Amino acid sequence: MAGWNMLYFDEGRFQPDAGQNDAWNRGAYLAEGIAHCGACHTPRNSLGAEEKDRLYAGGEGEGWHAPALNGSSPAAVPWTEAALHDYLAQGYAEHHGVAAGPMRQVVRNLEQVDETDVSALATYVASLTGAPKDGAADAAIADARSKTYSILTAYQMDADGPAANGEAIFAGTCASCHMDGGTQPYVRPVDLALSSVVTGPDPRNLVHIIMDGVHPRPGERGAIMPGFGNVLDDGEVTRLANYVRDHFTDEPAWADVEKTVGDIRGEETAQ
Amino acid sequence: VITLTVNGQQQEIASDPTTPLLYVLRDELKLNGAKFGCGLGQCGACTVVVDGKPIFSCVTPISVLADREITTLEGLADGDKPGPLQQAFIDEQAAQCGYCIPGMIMRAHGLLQKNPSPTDAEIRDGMQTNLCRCGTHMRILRAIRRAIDASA
Repeated sequence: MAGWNMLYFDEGRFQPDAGQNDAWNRGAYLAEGIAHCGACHTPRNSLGAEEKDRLYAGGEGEGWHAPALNGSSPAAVPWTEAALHDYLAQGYAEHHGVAAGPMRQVVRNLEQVDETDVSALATYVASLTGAPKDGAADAAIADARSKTYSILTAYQMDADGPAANGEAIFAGTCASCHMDGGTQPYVRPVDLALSSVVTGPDPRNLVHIIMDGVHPRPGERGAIMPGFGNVLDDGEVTRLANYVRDHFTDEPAWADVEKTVGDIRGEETAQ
Repeated sequence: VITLTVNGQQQEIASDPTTPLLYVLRDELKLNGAKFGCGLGQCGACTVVVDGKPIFSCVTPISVLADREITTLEGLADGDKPGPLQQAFIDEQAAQCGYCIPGMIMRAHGLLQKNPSPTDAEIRDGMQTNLCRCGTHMRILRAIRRAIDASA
């Protein structure tokens, strides 16, 4: 442990940056010293230490991928201070979706925190991502609209054969909510083309959500999605995740989705 | 054509593979126990049990159900008489309008398959996904407890 400390532990107190305003410094202090955002959102080296030259480049927590918060953020619509504030304060931001996995608990904890501190965190995290390019948000929203799954898309599908491809599963399980038109749930889901769960580099979050869904706290209103882990087998979850990635993004296919599904199934069976 | 096994009987279904199981149960097989509530997997009125686990039949396409054991409300009957779980719901008069009850019974059936003697907290947790708008939740919980006690 002494050796690890010598290599990776920096003792010291938070030092404000005189070049930044009070809100930024407060946010930096909270993010670095109290909330430890980097514990999940910064990648770790093989000895489990945060890689200091890749701060907020994306990491993991509790078996979920923690997306990058720096310039390599996978968000299709760039994060802004206002969107980050919504997300941290309410667990939901338009064009980004809901906080899920371990981040849900973070949002619940932040409900106990003073409003100005939540704003300060948003100010600081927005500075990590950097200012969005002009027009980037509009372009991403237009692109997402072009990828929307509609009744027309479903009619054009070749659905022959039992679950021949992920689209047949999508049409039967997902489309009733994740489709343009038709009945909509209480909280309209974010366009899948805009969700970091779909655009990000790691399939784990999508697999978790397909299998377990999204649930509000008992007795409260909020975004809700049923989990499909009881009915879809590993191969079906894999084909569905691959289809969603392919249809809603221009990103390369994820590697080893089937192994990810098996690992997550194994964790759940063990619980 | 997809072969479904419903309440132990094999059924050849020619519907589009993306058709939700609920529509096939009600429209093709005339098994009207499962109900259409929201169509979004949010209310639980359509719940049936597949391989021992409760699922929402309104958002489950038949394409993924070949070679799976599907149990509907009708499958819980004891010959011409209600099965023990159904009888417990009758004894507690757990239905008001009754629309949610088939789903409630199937959700409870799935719960009891996995855990035959749940605590009250585990029953509440397991039944969380199914909604009753009349407000007979307390009777529903009592009915499940009654069925557990009767089988103990």
